[in-house]
Amino acid sequence: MSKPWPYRALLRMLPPSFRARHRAAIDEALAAAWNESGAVSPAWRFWLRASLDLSTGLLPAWISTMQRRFPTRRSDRHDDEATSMDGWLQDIRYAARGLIRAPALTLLCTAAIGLGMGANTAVFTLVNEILLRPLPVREPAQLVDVHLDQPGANSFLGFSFLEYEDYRSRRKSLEGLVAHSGIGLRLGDQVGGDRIRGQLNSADYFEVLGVTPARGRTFTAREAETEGRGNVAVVSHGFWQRRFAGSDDLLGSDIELNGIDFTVVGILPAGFTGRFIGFPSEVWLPLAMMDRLRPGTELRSRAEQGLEIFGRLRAEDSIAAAADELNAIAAQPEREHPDMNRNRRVTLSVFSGLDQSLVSPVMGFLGILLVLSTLVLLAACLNVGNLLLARGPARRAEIATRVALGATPARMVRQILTETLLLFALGAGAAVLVALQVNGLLGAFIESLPVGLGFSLTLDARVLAITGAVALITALATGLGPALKAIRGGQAAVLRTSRSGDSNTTRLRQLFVVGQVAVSVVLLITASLFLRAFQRGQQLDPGFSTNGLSMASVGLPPESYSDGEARVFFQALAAGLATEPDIAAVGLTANTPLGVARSPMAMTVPGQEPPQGQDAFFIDVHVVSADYFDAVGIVVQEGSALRAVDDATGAPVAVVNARMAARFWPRGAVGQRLMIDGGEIEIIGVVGDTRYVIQSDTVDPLVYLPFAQHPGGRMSLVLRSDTAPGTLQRLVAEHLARADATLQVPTVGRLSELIEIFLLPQRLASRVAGALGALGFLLAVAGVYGIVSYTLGQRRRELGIRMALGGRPADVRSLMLKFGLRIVGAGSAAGLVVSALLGPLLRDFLVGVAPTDPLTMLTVVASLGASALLAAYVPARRAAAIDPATALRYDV
Amino acid sequence: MVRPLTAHGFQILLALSDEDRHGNGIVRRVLEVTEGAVRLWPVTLYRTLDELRHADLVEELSGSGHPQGESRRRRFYRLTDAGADRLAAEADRLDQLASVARRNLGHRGA
Repeated sequence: MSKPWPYRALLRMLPPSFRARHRAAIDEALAAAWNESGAVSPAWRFWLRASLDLSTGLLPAWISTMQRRFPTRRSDRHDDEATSMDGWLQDIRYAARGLIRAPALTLLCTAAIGLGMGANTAVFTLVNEILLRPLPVREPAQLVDVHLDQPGANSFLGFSFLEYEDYRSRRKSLEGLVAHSGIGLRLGDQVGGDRIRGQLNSADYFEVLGVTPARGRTFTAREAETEGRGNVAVVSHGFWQRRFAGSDDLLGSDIELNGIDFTVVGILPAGFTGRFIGFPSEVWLPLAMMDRLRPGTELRSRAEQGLEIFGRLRAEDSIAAAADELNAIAAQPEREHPDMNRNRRVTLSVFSGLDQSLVSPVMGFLGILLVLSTLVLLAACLNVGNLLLARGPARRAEIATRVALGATPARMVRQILTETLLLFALGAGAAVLVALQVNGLLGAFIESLPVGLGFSLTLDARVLAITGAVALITALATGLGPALKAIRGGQAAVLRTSRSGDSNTTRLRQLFVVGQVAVSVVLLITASLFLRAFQRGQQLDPGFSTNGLSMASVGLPPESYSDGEARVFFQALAAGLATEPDIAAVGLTANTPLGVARSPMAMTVPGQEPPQGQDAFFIDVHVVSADYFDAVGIVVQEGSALRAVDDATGAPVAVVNARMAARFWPRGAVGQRLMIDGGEIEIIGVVGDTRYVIQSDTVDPLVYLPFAQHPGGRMSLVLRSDTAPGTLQRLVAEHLARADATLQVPTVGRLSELIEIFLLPQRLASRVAGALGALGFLLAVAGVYGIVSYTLGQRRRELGIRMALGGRPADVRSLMLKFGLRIVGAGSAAGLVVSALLGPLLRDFLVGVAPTDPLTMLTVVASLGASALLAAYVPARRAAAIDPATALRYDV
Repeated sequence: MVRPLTAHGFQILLALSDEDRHGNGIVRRVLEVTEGAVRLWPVTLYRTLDELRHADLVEELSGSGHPQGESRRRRFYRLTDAGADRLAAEADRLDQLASVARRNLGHRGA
């Protein structure tokens, strides 16, 4: 049992005498408690409980220690009720009166704490939702994800159904193994009906997850995996409530999805929306329906590798052993189908509510948000601490009076701490309101996005408990310094009260403001970096103009179209659309010109060694029509652009991008050859480079193969047209209906909108960081103003003397400005150092911007410096207006 | 009027009323008596013991007073006479409250 650091930190806050006396005994008692409870309850709960014990004991322990050190006086009998309820109530009443007497201070502190803690609470709500709240499934700890681990593969590539069947039928470990795949569905029969997200899944999906339907049933094995048997659907509780108003008639009735009728056989319990957090599914359909729902795909083809797999460990299984077994099974299909299953290995990992490709970016993103919001909280605490310290000299007279009248110093510490606690309690209340507001805004923002994210951002008990704990700890940390300062002043028990604070307090206050400036520099730099990355992302040149480019995907049912027929169909469709006067050019592609997915294929190049440890190059391949380059606006630099080829009879040819040509054939690519699947392909042209994977900052080698030689049933139309989206949609629908009226009409989407979605993380980050940065900025400026005004108050006499001796107002003004400048300078320097240290953390999120971008740093420091100087100028001007006569009379 | 004991203070005095115990012994005894409902966590325990000691309701045994066979390292605590009086007074007070409660509820039942 080792103590976690928060507990150790709290331990250190106990009075030294108490710690020295009881440390060993406390360790022993903790160990005993751990042994009794550790086995049944999770460690975090144990330590939470232990920390609660410690933090509630902290204040009473200090008080009794103080009482013993400063024995009670006779006259103080009524004050001796230190541990009774009465004393506490009296303290709280007294503290409340004090706070009401200084409304400006109270309001300022409450606002600062509320904003700081509110930001923290809002971020923690997100962390709670994404990482901490367990999925509503049976024993989530036993579930494991199976990932593909193949050189060159991307995280969007999964498993084929036949591969899955191999694993499932031959494995001996794992209680169950499930395959599923997300699918976009159109609900209802009208064109452009509601788009909803669904899952296609194998039979034991619900059983392995441990989700039992609230009503009805789930699929039978026969329905799930036998083609043509499974026109049944299971729906989410939300789907039932939202779309059918919770009507009892839904069970057993038909709903239409992608033009196919499904009978609803089951409704899932509320709270279950699929295994991925943030991407709620509404409908679950049998895997066997994939081919009909998504024409152009073939479930029982080894090339169709879009399934995700997860399983459940039995008590006797280990992740490593299960992975070894699955890999042994994987070797078999590799031998039987070397072209499709080359080097396919799997890794297993603990089940997560995040898609594998999202885990590290999301964790990193949340980490950054937590760091930023903690910085804001730190700035707020520094601010409040400063304000409380500022009251010190004024309080000292009051404290001295009360001590003289018989109050114990311990009582005074308690009094001041109670005030701080009350202040932070008010702040915590404000924080909850702020967090609710922020969550509301965030929720609205998420809903306005075109990707259909779904989060239920709610303040549950865990979030509130954390907020409370943070308030308690920050209150003690913030209040203890000023309280001890005040009592030390009071212990001198003098009624001689000078308005000037002691130099110790002044130095502490200056340090606080320097800290605030540093924190706000860090916040502002981070915010600006995100903003610049977002702007860069919008400006990043993909190598072609997305203006006026639209896309629509068309899938042909494989039972009615052979590959040859598909070629004829798509070529005719594209040619027909190209005759429309509103459409400038039409291209066909099996991949998007700017997408998220890579599509690598194994190929060899005569005379070139593949990378070490591999027997081939894995290079992305796009299958496109001859008109594609024209439509997208990709320039042909050398040779011809697949134009010579319009059927399958010619010799196999390809076009490569300039990067590929430079990489393999610097002396001219045209006429060279490469080998794919053992077939030789001649390169007939070189085209300009484009960025084709959106997250990538670089241009990678790319091979274009002619659609005519590699036809398929699922293609995207790329349309260059300046006409309205509605017109394009109508034109596509018309031409499609003329070609084959039974086909689904796809949605025509603008490419620029597609890109927007992928820039979402930067956009979100720049907004959140910007808001936090603005907060930090305000706090820092307020801090600088405060410290300069305060110093002015202290040095009024000295300044008066200077002016009486002939000092000019301008000299006094510049004296005060210089003081402000020193504080801002020290804070900025510290902030720059911290930002440089934080840089590596941000690198992954800043596409195209260096984390130590000098321009950003300079701008931030300059603008903060200017604002802070302005804040210092106001009191400095007041200093220059000091009348020596008044100043010298004042406060002697 | 005597100030009411805190709930934890009462539990500790009660645990020491039959025999001298060390810290963990008190924790275990309190768990036993309350059938697991009350667990004294370390800081609460030793803080309250300090307070009771300071009020002379509990005393700490010197090394020689340890029960036989027990480690010297552990500190044992014993109820003082004042502590016993205080516990008795508290018991009376609770008894009084309990009888009021029973009487009132009896009215209700009738």
